[in-house]
Amino acid sequence: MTSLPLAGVRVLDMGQFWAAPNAGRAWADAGAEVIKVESLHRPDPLRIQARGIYPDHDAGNDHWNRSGMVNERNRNKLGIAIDLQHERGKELFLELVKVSDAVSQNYSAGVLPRLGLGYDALSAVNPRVILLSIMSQGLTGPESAYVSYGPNLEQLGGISHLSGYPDDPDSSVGFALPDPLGGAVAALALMAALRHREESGAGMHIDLSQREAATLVIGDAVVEQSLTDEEPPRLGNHERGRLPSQCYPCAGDDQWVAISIGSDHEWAALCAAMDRPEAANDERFATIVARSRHRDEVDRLVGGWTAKHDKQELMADLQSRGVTAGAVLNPRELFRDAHLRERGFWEPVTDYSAGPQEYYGRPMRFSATPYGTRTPTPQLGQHTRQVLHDLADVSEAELDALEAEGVIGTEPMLSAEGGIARGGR
Amino acid sequence: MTAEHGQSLPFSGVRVLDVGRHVAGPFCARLFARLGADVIKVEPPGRGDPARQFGPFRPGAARGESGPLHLYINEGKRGITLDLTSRTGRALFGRLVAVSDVVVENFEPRVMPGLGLGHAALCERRPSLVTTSISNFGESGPYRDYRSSELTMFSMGGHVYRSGTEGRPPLRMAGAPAQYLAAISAAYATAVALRVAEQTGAGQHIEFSILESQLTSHAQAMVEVSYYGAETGAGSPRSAGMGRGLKTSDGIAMVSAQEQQMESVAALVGAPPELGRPSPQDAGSGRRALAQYIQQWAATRTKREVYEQGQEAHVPSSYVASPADLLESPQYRGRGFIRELDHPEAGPVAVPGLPFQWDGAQTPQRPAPLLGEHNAEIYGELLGLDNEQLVRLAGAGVA
Repeated sequence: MTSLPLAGVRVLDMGQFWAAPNAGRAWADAGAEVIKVESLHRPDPLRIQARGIYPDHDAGNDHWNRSGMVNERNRNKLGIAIDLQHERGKELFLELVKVSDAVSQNYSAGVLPRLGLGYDALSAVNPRVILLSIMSQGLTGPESAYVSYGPNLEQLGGISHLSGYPDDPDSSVGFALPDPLGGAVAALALMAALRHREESGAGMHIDLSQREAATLVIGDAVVEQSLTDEEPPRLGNHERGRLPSQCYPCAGDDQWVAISIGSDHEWAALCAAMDRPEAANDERFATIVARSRHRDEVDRLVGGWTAKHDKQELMADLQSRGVTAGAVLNPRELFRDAHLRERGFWEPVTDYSAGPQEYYGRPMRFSATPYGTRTPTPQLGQHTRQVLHDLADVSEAELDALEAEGVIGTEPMLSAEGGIARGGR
Repeated sequence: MTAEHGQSLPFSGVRVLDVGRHVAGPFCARLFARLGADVIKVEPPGRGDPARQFGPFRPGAARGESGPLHLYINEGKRGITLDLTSRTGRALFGRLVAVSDVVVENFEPRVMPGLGLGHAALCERRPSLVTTSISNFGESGPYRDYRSSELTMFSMGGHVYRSGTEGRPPLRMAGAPAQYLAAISAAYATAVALRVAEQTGAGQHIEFSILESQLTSHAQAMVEVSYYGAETGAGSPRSAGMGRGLKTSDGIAMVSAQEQQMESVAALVGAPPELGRPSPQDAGSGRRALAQYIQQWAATRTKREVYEQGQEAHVPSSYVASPADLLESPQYRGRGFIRELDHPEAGPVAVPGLPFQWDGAQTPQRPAPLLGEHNAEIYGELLGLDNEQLVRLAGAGVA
């Protein structure tokens, strides 16, 4: 079988920034017709951010089509730009809703209802439509109107409290992970809603909380607090039941290798690699209990050895001996990484305005259905005329008139101030 | 299984066999449990999933097989024991596969095929079967058989190198973000393949790599490498995520003042209005001066006050929430995200649920199973085994 797995599913993707566009890309990769909905007054903010990422730092003549973060996350979609504050724009959007399966959005709370495009309005024209609202904190609850970026949600979701050096409560790590987490959850949520609709015949409004998605990654600590009534400790790099588990210095400037020892047998293998076989039987180190009592000595022993070696060579050598080790890799190294290259993970794409680039591919491979990039990220409004003509039966004459009036088009029309941002950086 | 007010759930009628251990496979399966699937956790007899033994345990709890990770990650499932390394065990597993829709596992890539339980073999029992294999590095490539832990995986994934203080080891994030992100994306992929199987009758295999899933979670670093060969960012890449904490009277909080919010922030903390409108020439010094006002303002408030007063001024703000804070969070309570259930061994326990909801539906809850808790029920109901046969299997160490 060769047809795309989500062929026949149409999604209006109003997502902006990161979390929601990522979900849209997942559906598009699987063959859904995902239409990225923007407006000339309010394109995806990543198209027009102050310090954008452009090919060779060159913003070119159409910087909004050359923004790396947009082009990475919106592959395989169609793109339309339509003014939703304009009455006719709104009408046309609702025409598209009539023939779509889902609408996905991550505007701040209240934006869609204020446009007259809340779930009730969408459902009135298409009772089968699924609205997926990817919110900071959900649509209900006392804090639902609050605004945030990814790092705020790391704090609010409980990740920051447990992250960082054990001796420094303000050393939390900020990776804005609630955005990709929220996007992954959203991708799943639509699949659930589609299957549900097959039974019930009706659409639904999915209310997703990115803060809650963040809490998933430390969910066991919440359970632990509830079980023991004691605060789970901040562990730094330490992994429970594994000792040592730490990043150790390697040859070169700020180079490191992570080593995590899960058994006494594995410790003995590390000792052999270090050419210190006697350390495997040393009473200070032989068992995990002993090593936990002599952690500083363990770290000096291991770190003194690793410091003389290259991180990649250490990883390969230790792994060949059955020792759990991973080099601390940076993005440039990952782009060159032999494993990822052999698997064809990095994907060459020729963007319309940004030219040939390589983006991350996909962590999943299907044995029987195609799944992958077919087209690059659309330019702003690239498919507006085609989509409105094909799906809403708008005449060429009206399309010309709408374009002249600025309701549709391909170049941003920006006011001095941007709206408030949420959901990512 | 139905929701509490009787409506059907998204994956009602789907049966998932969860043969993995630790986090990624079991959490992938758990998402299906919360969405209404019948998820059966299959564990080796005697010791079960090692995640059971990860403490700490409730003081005085009986058998020590119900640590917090297990209670969290296996909630919503039924549990059986079955030794997949025995011939009889594999035969029984084949019979379970024949009445199931999905198998999720996260062993090293060689394990399931080595047991004769690869996709092709299982598909003979059930042509529409979806098998989802979540592995650290995928099923090919030089790292295929590398060992990993959350620390080494997160380190390889390209986030760790820029974290922490210069001169100290770089830092991983708490919890198991690499595992959970993979589990969620693998659940999405599984749902896609399940849809195809239901439409066409054809099953398939999904190969999922946790390392590659990590690489899809970068804000901009990977794009920068492609677009101009290097990452930018001021100064050392280390400490990129640090130094944003505000010390309050009872913990740490944050006020995220982006350019468009600087005026509101200045007004909020009582700074001179001009600090909220920095000219491009002195943006740096203006920002530093404003930062001092923010810190002074925060020092006399609690972390929740900083959060709430910031939000009232429409400034993205937050506080560092501890697990205890989350258990008491009015937002989480209001939404029913964390709910309490009664576990036969551990007693009452609060467990985080699904991060989305619809139409007020409450998704089903069932405490994580004891080891082999549902052997009689499942072997009886699905395979028609009687008690005597079960006793014999248990005696032989098969179930």
